[in-house]
Amino acid sequence: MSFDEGFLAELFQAISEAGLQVIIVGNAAAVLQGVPVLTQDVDLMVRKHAQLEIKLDRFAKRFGVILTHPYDPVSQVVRAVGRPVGVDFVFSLSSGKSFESIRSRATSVKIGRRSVLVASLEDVIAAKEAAERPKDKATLPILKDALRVRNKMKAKSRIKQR
Amino acid sequence: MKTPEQIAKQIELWHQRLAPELPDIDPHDLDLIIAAILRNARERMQIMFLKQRKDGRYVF
Repeated sequence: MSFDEGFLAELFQAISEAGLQVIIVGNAAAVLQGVPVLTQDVDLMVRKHAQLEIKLDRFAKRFGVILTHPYDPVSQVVRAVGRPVGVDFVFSLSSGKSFESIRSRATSVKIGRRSVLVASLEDVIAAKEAAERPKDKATLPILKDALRVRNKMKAKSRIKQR
Repeated sequence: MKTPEQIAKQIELWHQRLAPELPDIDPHDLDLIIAAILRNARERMQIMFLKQRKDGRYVF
């Protein structure tokens, strides 16, 4: 198992033990769907609810990190600090789409022993387009090209199967 | 597990099929994208994160 796979397996073990429901968004979601990019962190969309703070604290203890609020009050991001790869919990995406909406189009990927939800490539692109930050704009061309290539490959595979 | 020759052949075949329909995508980028899509989830997780060392340099 590579370091990156091991890190993700450990991360989602801690998330599961803490009882958190999350969806992988951002570039990590893109990598898991076959976009040739790298990322420095894992962005996780989490639904706000009454027990969330308790669950996040439980996660922090199990994963050995501290939780910070780097952009408060401009943006509500909870950042887990203390591991070689950062983990950001976000409650909304720049595209304005809800947790339920993102989940309805998400795909499932096996990480370690667990199935984890990953936001669709279309939703990752929509969020980056809406964010309009330079680093998001920089990755948009490869994300869009990968989506077009993937859709063409899917269509051609279907034609071949008929 | 596919051999390197099988992977290379598969990428080449997809490239030949897709390149005429996607002329605006740089051929090198197209190869990278096809190769990444053909990998399974586990292979995609092999190199995913760019990590900062204590001396400030980045590694993956």
